[in-house]
Amino acid sequence: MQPVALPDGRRSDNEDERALVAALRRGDEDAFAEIVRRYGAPLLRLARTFVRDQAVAEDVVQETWLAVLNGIDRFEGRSSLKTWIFQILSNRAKTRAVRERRSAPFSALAGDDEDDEGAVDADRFLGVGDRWAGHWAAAPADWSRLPEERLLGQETLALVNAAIDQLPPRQAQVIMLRDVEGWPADEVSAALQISDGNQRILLHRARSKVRAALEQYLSEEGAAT
Amino acid sequence: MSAEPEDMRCNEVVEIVTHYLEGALDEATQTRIERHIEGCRGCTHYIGQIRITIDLLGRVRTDDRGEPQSDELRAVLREWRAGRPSSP
Ligand SMILES: [Zn+2]
Repeated sequence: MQPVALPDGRRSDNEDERALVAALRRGDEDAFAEIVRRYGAPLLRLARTFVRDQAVAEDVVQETWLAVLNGIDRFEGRSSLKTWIFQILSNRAKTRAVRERRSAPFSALAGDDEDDEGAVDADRFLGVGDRWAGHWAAAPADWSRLPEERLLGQETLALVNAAIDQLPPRQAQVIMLRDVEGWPADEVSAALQISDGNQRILLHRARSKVRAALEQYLSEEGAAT
Repeated sequence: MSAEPEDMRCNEVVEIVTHYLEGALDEATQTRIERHIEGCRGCTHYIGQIRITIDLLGRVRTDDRGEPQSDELRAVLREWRAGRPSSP
C-alpha cells in the first residue's frame, strides 16, 4: 500500500484532514495509526471522566474507533474530523455511563456539576458591614514572582493533573479540551454537545478550582510575596 | 456609606473573570471590570493567577498514550477493511 503523505506540523489543518479522511476511506493503516496517535490519549482521558473504570473507558475508546471507521464514508466535513471523533466518543461514553450507573451503588450518582459555590471562598473577602465589603481581606499572591523551577516543576504539574481528576465530570471534560488540549471554545461545545454559555460556566468553575488547588500548594512554602 | 453602584467588588470580579478573559462581557461590564482591576492589586494578582493556571494546564501532558491498544486497533482496522464492500 502506498504511504499517505501526511503533512507534518499544522500548516493547514484543513488539507491535513482532507488527506487523512481520504486515506481512512481507502482503509490506509498508517492514516489510522496517525489519528490514534493524535487523539488516542485525550480520548481515553475524556472517556475516563464519563466512566471512571479504566477498562470500561478503554472499551468506549475502542468502540469509538470502530464507529469512526464505520462512519467515515458518511463524514461530511461539516465539523472537523477531530470534533466529529470526540462527538462520537462523548455520545458513546454518555450512554455507557448511564448503563454503568444503573448497576452502581447510589453514592456513585453523587457529585454532579450543579454546585454553585463561589469561585473563591467567601471568607477571603471582607464581610458585610465592612466599609470595603466584598473586597479582598488579604490580596492574593503574585505568582509571577515565584521561582520558575517551582512554578513549572514536575510536582506542580502533577498537582494540576490531580486537581483535574478531582473535578466533577462535566467540568473536567471542558477544562481538558479547552486548556489541556488547547481547543477553541466552539469546538469544545460542539464535541461535548453543550451550549457556549454552559461551556463557559463549566470552564469557569473548573479553572477556579484548579487555581484554588494551586494556591494551597504554592502557599505551603510561603515563597510568594 | 456604601460603594457607588457602578463600583465592582472583588468577589464579583472572581465570578466573571472567565467571561472577561473570553471577551464575553457586555461593554458596560467590561468597562467596570477594567476600571476595578486598574485600581485593585488583589484582583490584578488574581487574574494573573488564573492566567498562570491556564498556562500550567497547557503544560500538563496526558500520560495515557494510545499505543498500548494499537495492536488491537490494527486488528480492528483489518477486520473493518475485510468486511467492507471492495474499494478502488
Ligand atoms: Zn478587586
